[in-house]
Amino acid sequence: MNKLKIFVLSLFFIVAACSQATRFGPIPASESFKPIVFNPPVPERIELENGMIVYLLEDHELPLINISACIRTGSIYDPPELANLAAMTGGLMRTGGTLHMTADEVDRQMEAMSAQFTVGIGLEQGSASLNVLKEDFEKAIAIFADTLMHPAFEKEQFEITSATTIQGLRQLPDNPQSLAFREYKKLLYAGNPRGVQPSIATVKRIRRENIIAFHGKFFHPNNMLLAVSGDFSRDAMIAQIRKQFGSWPKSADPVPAVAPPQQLQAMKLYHLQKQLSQSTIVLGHFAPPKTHPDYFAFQVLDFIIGSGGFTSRLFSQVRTSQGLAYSVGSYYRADIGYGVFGAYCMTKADTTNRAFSVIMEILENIKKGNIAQQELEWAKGSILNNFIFSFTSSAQIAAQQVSLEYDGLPSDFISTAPDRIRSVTLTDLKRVADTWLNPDRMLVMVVGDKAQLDVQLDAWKWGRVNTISSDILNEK
Amino acid sequence: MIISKSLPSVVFMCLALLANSHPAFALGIGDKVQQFELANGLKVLLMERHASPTISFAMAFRTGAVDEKGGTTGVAHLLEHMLFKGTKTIGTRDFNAEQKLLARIDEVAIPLDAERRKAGAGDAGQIARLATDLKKLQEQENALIIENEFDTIYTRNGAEAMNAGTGYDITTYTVSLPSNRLELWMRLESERFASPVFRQYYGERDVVIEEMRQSYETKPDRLLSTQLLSAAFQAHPYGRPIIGWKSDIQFLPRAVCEDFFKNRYSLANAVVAVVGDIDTGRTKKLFEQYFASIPASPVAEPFVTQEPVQKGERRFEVCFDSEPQVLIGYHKPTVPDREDYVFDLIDALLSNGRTSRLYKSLVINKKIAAAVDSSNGFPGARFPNLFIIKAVPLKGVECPTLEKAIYAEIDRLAHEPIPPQELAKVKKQFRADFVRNLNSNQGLTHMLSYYQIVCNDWRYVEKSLDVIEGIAPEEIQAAVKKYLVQRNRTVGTLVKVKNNE
Repeated sequence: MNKLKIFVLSLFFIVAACSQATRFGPIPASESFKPIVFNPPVPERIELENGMIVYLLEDHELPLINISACIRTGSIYDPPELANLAAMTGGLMRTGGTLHMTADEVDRQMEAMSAQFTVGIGLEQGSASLNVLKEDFEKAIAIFADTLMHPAFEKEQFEITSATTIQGLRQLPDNPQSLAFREYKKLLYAGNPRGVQPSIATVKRIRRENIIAFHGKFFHPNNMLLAVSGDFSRDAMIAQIRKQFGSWPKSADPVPAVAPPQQLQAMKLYHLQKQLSQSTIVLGHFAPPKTHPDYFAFQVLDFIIGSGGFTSRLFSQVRTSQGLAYSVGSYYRADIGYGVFGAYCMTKADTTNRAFSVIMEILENIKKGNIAQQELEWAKGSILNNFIFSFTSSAQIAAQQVSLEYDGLPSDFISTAPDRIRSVTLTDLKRVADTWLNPDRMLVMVVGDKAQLDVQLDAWKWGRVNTISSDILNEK
Repeated sequence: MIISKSLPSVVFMCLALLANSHPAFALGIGDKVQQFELANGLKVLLMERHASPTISFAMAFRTGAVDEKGGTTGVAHLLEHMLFKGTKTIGTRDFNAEQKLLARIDEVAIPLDAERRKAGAGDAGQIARLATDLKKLQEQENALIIENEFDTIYTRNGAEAMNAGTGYDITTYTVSLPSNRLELWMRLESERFASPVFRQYYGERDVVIEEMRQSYETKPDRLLSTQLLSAAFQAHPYGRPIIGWKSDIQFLPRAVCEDFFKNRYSLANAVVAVVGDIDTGRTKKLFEQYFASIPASPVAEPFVTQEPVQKGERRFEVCFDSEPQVLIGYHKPTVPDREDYVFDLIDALLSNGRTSRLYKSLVINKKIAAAVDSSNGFPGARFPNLFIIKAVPLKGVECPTLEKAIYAEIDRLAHEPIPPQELAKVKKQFRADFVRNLNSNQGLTHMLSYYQIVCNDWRYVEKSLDVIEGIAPEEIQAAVKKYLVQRNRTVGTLVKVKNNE
């Protein structure tokens, strides 16, 4: 009985399959689809008297209002001995109350409205966001503005932030990928403020006074841009923003620029011991900044190397063909003064050298210019067809404009991007690979168990491997 | 999940879904969703949303790891990976030649697996010979296939967020496309689920083993939650990891994957949700054109083993080189049982936000925890599941101290009246979260397909809010007293054991 059932099912399967293959004909070519005509809405830009920039975009689909603020600051301004000062300032702004409301009161009111409210400071930018039902907007924006302008940094909350931050650092090495990237960034940016990493010791040194001073230095209306989107009317919103932020005095001190990091001159290999069944490999170097003419060509190149999904070289060779990894790929993040290109792979300990060799071979091949016209067309077409997903929500569109202005890029930078991508030629790609891709001058970080490696570290053909330990748990 | 492009590790799909789909009502999506069913049983949910010229798709099957038989754990998830390998016309240069080769590959791989399975006792000479043969055949296979063509086509057409997730009781395939590519989705997906080919099987099995290393073996919190499930579920398959036990998945035969596909991937067992810039009439016609002619096939008997009632507290430890943590699980009913909604409220009261009871007590007032969280509906939703609480102690605090503080809050919830404004706060959170979920095509496809699979009715997306609004404080206290008790709980602790470095 059982057998019969299986037989019947298989038959269905085959019949379906045969008819299927002939029923629909070939897959239509990507070029054959009727082009989409879509003009995304354009946010309105206004500037307050105190220098604060506001982008507004009405969207009445849902009764929600979204604000995201972008503040010119970052952990690049952390004094090295107080690393994590910026991040803790952001965290404590959110949790430490204001000069007019206790921390507890802020939490209770915001949560009673079910407002989503965040403040954070990253590497080169601070951010704050508020997402709230329209009915609660007036009350919520008052607390939001008060938090940005007049945070209290309550002492008790400071102590909680400090203790939980230290516990977070203790836990970080439990995740080998987090540990690998921390050590990688520290070494890649060595000598540059971007490489400064927090440890228990630096967090223990941070005093409440440091946090108050950090906030005072950077949080001014002329260092801040707002993106406001959602269910409001323009005039009322402008009036509301003026009411909340209008009397905030501007600062006379500009935020200083930080010099870009320096390119490595030779390959550097590092190993950090962790007794696990799988190694984490991260490698990379600096790449074109966003303002460089090669930015778009390098984006296409990175897509082909490892950020373009299954078809990209790293995925298709390391994962699909050889089964060496579940996660493998590359990334390219461009900033204003510099960009970073990197690749990563997690592979079992005894294929560490093998997987790394495959990655290096792929990069060297690309460097030599072994790229096919067909590959270029696929990558360009993919990026261009996906472009429409840059405009799926009003919050995304408004935040985009803020981000462009923050970076000092022209407001049409995104809308003209398709033409710039379209014009990338194979010659451009080969030139960019030759100029910017330098596998022999990369920084390589391997976190894994040396006892289980397929090739011992001292026999790696790429150069001497330096074994390091992490300073994250240092108490002094 | 099939891809992990970004680095944060994969989460249990079911948890992710629950976190995103707190039910609540506001805007009457009931009028906007069109529902129909093809003759072969495929259920389709359509919702027009013209905010941008894009469309999101979620195709969900009512199957997952719970349907695996003993010795074949991990097959549901491995099959999900195999369904990205193409079909008889996608991913191949010559299917007839390839088909013959696939049979020969199995003829070598099966005895090779058998020898390797003997661990040290396998015939080393034979293993080497077979491995060489397999490699040669795989090279021949590679010459006949167009690697990853299924993905290449999607990517070339601008696909966004193409992925899939295998849960315990639901498996979902998702993608978003520019709206002019509606028919492309029909073309690719109808063929994908009608005539898939499981090519490059043995390589993909290795990929899944790497996924296991990455997401389970090297992640202490995942080890803890896996063990919690094993300890809490002694009969029900929620007690097994979705990724499978290593000794099962390492040697899992291709035929097991094919059987699982035949038994579980009937269109009568599937739901498709399509949300975005579509024309309902045209979309409906395309479904008829592409999917209606796929014959109906019977769905295998659903899984039935029930977990017996827990008769006393269970405690366990996981030793690992990592910071300590405590994880507590309580058995409870699942959706659409009213008590499950009561637990949504308990979850929010205990851990949603900085004013929630556990956060306030453990992190702010007592200063003994760095983090505390709870979650309702772990690890699946089609069968009775767990309410879990997780906490991370600050240095110098012992896990039993955290446990005591957690139980004290549970006790307070059971015995002290719940202030009306606190209940109003959490009920409003559900409503606001629901409105936020309406802001994304992708989120909507997930919600609709999820409720259709789990509750057999997508309208629970809305019904859920009405239920939650109507829950009285006494019901919350009754559920706490009934379920959040010592004899019904399983407690796991992560204990730091330093490795030699």
